[in-house]
Amino acid sequence: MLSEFIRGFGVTLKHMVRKPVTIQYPEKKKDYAARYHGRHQLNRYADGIEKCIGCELCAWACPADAIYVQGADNTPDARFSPGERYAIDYQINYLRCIFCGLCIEACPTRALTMTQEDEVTSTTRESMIFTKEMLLAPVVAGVKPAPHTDAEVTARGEEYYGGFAFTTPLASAQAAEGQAGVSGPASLGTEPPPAGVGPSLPTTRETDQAATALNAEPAPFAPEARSEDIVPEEIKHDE
Amino acid sequence: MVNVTIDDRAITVPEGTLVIRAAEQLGLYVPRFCDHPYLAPLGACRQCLVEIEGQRKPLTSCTTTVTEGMVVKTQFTSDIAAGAQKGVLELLLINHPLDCPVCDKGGECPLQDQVLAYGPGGSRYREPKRRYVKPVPVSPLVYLDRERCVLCARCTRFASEISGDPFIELFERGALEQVAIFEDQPYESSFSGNVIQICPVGALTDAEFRFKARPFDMTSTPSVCNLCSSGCSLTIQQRRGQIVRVLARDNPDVNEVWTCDKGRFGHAYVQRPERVVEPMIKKEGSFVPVSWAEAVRLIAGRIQTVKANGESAAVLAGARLPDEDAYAVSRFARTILGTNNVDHRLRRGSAEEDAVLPQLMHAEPVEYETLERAKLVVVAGLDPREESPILFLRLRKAALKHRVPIVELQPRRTALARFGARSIRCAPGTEADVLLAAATRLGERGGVDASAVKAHHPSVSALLERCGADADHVYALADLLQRAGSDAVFLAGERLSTSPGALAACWNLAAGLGAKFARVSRRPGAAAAVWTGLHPKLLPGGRLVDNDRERLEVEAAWQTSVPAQPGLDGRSILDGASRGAIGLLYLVAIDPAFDAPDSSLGARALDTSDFIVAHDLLLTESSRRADVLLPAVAVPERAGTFTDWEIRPQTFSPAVGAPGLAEPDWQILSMIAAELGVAFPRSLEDIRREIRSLVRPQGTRTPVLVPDVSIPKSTEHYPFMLLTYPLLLDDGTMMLGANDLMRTADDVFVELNAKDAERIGVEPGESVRVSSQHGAIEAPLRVLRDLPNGSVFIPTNQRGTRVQSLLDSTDAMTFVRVDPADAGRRG
Repeated sequence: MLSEFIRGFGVTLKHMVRKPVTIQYPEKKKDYAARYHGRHQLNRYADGIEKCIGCELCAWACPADAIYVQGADNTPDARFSPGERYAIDYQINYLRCIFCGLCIEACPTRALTMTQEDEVTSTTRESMIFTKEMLLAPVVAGVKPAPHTDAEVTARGEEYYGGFAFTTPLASAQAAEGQAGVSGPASLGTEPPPAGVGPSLPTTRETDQAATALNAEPAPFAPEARSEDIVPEEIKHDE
Repeated sequence: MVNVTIDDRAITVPEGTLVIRAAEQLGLYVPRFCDHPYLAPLGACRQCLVEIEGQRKPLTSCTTTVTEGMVVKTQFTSDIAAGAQKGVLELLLINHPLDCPVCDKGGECPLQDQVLAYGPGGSRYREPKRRYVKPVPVSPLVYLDRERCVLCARCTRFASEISGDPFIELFERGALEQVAIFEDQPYESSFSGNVIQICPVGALTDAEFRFKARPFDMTSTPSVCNLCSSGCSLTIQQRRGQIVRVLARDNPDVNEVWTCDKGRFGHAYVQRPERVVEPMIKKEGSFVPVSWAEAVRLIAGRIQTVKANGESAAVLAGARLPDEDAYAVSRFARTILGTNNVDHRLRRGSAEEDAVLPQLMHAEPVEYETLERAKLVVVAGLDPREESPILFLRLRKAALKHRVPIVELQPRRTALARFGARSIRCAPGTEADVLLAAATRLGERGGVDASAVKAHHPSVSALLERCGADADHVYALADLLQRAGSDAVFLAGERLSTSPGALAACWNLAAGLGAKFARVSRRPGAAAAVWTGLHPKLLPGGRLVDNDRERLEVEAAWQTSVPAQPGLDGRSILDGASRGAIGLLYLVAIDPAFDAPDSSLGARALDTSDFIVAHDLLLTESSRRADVLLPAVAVPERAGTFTDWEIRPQTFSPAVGAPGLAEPDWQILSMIAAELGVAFPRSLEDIRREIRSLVRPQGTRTPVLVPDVSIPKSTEHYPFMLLTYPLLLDDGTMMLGANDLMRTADDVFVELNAKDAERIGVEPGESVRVSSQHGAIEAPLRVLRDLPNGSVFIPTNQRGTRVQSLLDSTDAMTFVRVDPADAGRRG
């Protein structure tokens, strides 16, 4: 009888001197597993251009119908993303989202990823709908957020022409200079033909030269670019 | 019949059947890109390769016709066929960019689907892909992306085989072969949207739809086009309540699988912020929104006052109403307003029109398919390409594929002439003379019963002199008519009704030959407007108001009395209103202030009317002047039926929700009837049941009297006869918001023949001033080689130029003078 009494209090005493499991949330926060399904983020390339091309595949994949995307045209004066299309509107309704991550799997450009952020609460329904501005990764210091002009992009030596582009027709046309002119119907051109390539030339062929140059510098859509996903500091939890 | 075996299954098909079609009949789908059921076989894409026993290599099933005892193995049973198809897909993907996520075709792309189903998992090609500038606008409506093109030539074949606008072609050869347009010439076609729809990849995309939605994120509703009387089957696609795209729907009886650009791109008006969305009452000169109850109470009160005071009421209803609405308006006018003053026309009616219209409704109908089997098609007073584009396509098919001779009779040569239609040109207003001359010539040779001509008219030579038509052409027409006999088809445009005696002459000629006759209007509800009795002398079913027996049939159906006195036609209603003699003017989907063929009558009539009720979608010149403005729903927002020019009824259901408090026209009328406590159909089904009960069986055709008309002569001061009709893309209210489409519209022009242009001393392209007694307009001159002497054509309502300002609808013909623009200002 007494021994059982002592054994029972022994358990209590043991726990009193043990290191506690409880964390003083919200003063202290704990790191989740690396693949934790937290709130979404729309990533950017290192130069501030958005990765999202507004393709709506995330919205299609979503089993809870929580995502709304509206695509629009990139213009030479306002380039938000590589290629022709970008998301002019992007919304996730966190009252619907079930954090399953199918949208992340669907994303062809790894524009959409999930963060460690788990505090998705609010007091109104409206504020539970996150807009594009809220979801976009903040730019790091010294980088201009999208949109950029095509002139700025070209000045950096990058090409965002045509979706999953490796090079522009213009660049490859210049590379093809000196080769036999490849003529096409002139009325189709939207860019001035380079000098010396016949009377009409927006249409041309890739050359080895251009291809080599390209392989040296991976395009934004190459898988290597994934490691450059910008995870802003404020979203990473401190110890 | 030929017996073949496909994948070990036997089938008997007609001789000449393609292997790919025979396989389809067995439910075996052979992948294909260039094959299209409405285009000629080409074998360009090589995707449909199948193994055929006894052949060394796989053959393309889309170009191989079946032979007796042929044994075919498709990709389902033959490794050779499957391997060949896989190889072709790998080759097609060498240069095809994998930008499916941003491509508008992604999700409905045959290439995407077939690569997934039959293609290799990866590619052995590591080389960079061919690059082109993209997207290239080939017209304001169509973008070309040459990187994605698989060179199936569907678009170029459509342009040459179907629409006959060969502005899009394949250039270059080998790896650089590409679709392109000719230098200096944009792809100008009224049918350009079809190449987008038939493109099996995302090479030709829709400029309006670009990036608006993904195909899998839209809801499709089958619908019927309400922008002309062709009756095209459409699919309306909406996303989140917004119409984002309109496609042509396959309907072999009507539009096959095509539609015109107006029908495809012209539905922007539906969801414009300018829409009238709530009932409004005019108080002290401006509209105040009110509830339906208040608006209906006010109208009901006014109707009671008008009836109590013995004032007259009148209804003008547009010919763009669906059948049910047209019927409801007709019944509303007769039973609730108690008047026969109801019309869908704004012009004056004529005795010949009144005699022909009721017979039309129970004559044997002409169908699109009839045109292909006809021995002769006579197109009179109709410009099909501008007024019924799908009819134009079917006429082209009949002429080129079935060798049907086509004769067009009108003052102005139309696009029909491009594919060999014989044109008989006559001065505006003298169409009757040509038809009577042909009928007389035919009568002399015993080709037609001379009594059928039923007209007092001068000799053939006198007729020919008066109309200015080429005698050889008229005699050739008579010969063709004699040969075709009852296999001839007459297509009479609505414009024929405004040419004195022409409708009657055409009707009599058709009746005399036992040939088929159809009236083709520009507006979608014109056939139903006549049929349901939106006409001062006609009741539903083409029954005559002043025929007691026929009127009693309608009275029995409605269980109420109908006034026995024929009412006023559209022109007389406006005349009456301008004198203040109409106590209540009820406008349904019509804009007399703008559209009345008169410089000022419409506006005057509405300004002097005591009380105007208008149902409308948008604020028009007329609805602005209304005392009560009621919001109506647009066609994609409602259910209904349209009867096209063939008298083929096609029902449609709502594709999107209606804005605000808008209601269908029939429902508004039903609400007013309920307020007055008068019996009136309460549902669409009620209306349809009543319409069905009032249909009349087919009857015999009797010739009508051709009036002996003397056409007024031109004067020295106004030497030119004016011909005017609207082109396909005009400044209509319904074109609101269709900005890209309207960029493809023609500029305004004044058309003269070379001789007249020389006489005035103006070069083509220079501005001329056209003036009549009522007004003047200015526009650049164009020269059309074979416009008759002394005739001038101006499109009615083009780019802000209102030809109505030259007209006075009391005149049978309008005479104008044409001067150089600067001289006009000096003088």
